[in-house]
Amino acid sequence: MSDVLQMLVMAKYQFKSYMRAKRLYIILLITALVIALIVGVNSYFGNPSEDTVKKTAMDFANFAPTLVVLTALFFGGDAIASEYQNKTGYFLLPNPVKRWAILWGKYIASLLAGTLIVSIYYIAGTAYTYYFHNSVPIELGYSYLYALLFLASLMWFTYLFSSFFKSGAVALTVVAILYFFVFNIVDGVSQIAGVEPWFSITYASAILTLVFEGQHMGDYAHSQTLGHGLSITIYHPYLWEGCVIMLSYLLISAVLTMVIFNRREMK
Amino acid sequence: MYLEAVNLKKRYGKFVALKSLNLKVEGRKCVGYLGPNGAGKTTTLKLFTRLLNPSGGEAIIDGYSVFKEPKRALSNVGTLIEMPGLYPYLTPEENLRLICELRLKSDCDIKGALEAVRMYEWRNKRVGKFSKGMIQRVALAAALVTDPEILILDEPTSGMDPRGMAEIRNIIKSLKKDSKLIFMSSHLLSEVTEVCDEVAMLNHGTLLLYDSVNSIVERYRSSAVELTTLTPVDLSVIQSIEGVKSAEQLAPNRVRIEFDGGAEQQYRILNSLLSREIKVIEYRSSGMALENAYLKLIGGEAHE
Repeated sequence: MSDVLQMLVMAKYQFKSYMRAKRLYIILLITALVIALIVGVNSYFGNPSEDTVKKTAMDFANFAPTLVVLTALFFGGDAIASEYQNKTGYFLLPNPVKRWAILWGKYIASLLAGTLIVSIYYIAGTAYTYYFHNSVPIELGYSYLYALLFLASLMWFTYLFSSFFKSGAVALTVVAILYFFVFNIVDGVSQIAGVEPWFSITYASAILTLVFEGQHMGDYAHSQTLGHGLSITIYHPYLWEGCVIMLSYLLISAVLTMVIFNRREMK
Repeated sequence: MYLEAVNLKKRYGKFVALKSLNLKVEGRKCVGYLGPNGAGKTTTLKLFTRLLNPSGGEAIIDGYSVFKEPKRALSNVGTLIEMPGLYPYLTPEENLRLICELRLKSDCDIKGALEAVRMYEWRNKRVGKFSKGMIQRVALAAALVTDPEILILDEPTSGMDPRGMAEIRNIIKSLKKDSKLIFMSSHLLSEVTEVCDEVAMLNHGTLLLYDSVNSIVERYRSSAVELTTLTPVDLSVIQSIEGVKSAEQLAPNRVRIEFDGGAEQQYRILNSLLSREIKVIEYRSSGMALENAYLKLIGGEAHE
């Protein structure tokens, strides 16, 4: 019981730190700008009311994976590394608190902050879709739930990298490069080679928009072969497959982070 | 209440920082932990606070292993290790409240702790732009705020100005009166002599000495004094005094006298000097007993 209370105390102060450091407000501002841009561009260059309701909702969901990555970077990139870099670990870690309680407290705060951002984004998407169609597809709700699962797994994955490095900036840069370049390159190469990139979390994140494809939820082709000389197979994860990949990342990253953080020394 | 190291070892790759340390400090007192750079002092304190994992052995606090039951072992311990960072977006009061809440203590005297380190007037300012000395004061307040019975302090006056150092020493002295066990590393021999009851000396990861300050003073008392006089003095007069082995002119008005014997003899020589109408304005042991012990045991290595 006391461990859980200590975990909640840690979460409270971590969240307070996000607010004081203005991180929360910066990512809120970015989210607001993205929302304004999507609404502005779609309204100016297109006519959303003539699109299908799914297409309108999907226009919004398209940016959700990138927003989740940004959120994970903002709140998780230096969450652990900064304790070592700023020597706050000397202040925090000698207290009679189990390290997993500290770690989970931080994680809960990061996840809450991230959930707030993603929720605001999807609320805006819901309002936008409803404005043009007087209805909202259920797929938008599923996309939101997948986005939260993606956020939860990506946050742990970011925490894992943060627990490796001593510098918060290095941890943040490495994770950003990984998400925005390495995974995308691996996904591309893998598809050219005709291998389904089932090991990639960015591949799994495609379910946030794939859920809108087809007549029914999940009713879309798993792979498409493009011919004309060079044959490329483009894979799409099944919804269940995307969820399994994300859950695997979540569990493996969480366990590894706990082991590393528990053993890590303040040298 | 006690702290005990049992065959405690720590290696960093091939470098052995701590070689099978066996040390038990017990009771309500202050124990100074001395040694040169790289002796293993901070390593010991970090092992006792579970900031490092041991290469072997045990660190025990009040019967609980720091490595197996850290939560129980550290439940009654306040710590100040190196120069810790504080959460920059929180105020001193919030940083201390974080510690109290984490330790599930509802009766913390945050005001008292901040007043003790003269940081109460800064309680509502964010610590992000505080000087090193101010951060060290708040960190010390954090070590005290839950009123633990055991304090592990790693060079607590580090980064402070002379006034701040004196204030912190006074705080530590007052803590002794509150019947706490204080285990404190320091690079200042005078500080340890002034504040501590017992001293442990460490070099190359090996414990060289653990004894009370009084006993060390008795064993390593200097058999030399430095004399300062109002007017220049004739060395032959001093050399003629019984018990004086040699006299060396350090300056026209300053002489170093070596003698045989202990405190009694030192007193007799002073009497003889006065009876010879030498105008003594200062007469003191050449070098502190602790310094003598340090130099004898650790040698001429630059001390931390």
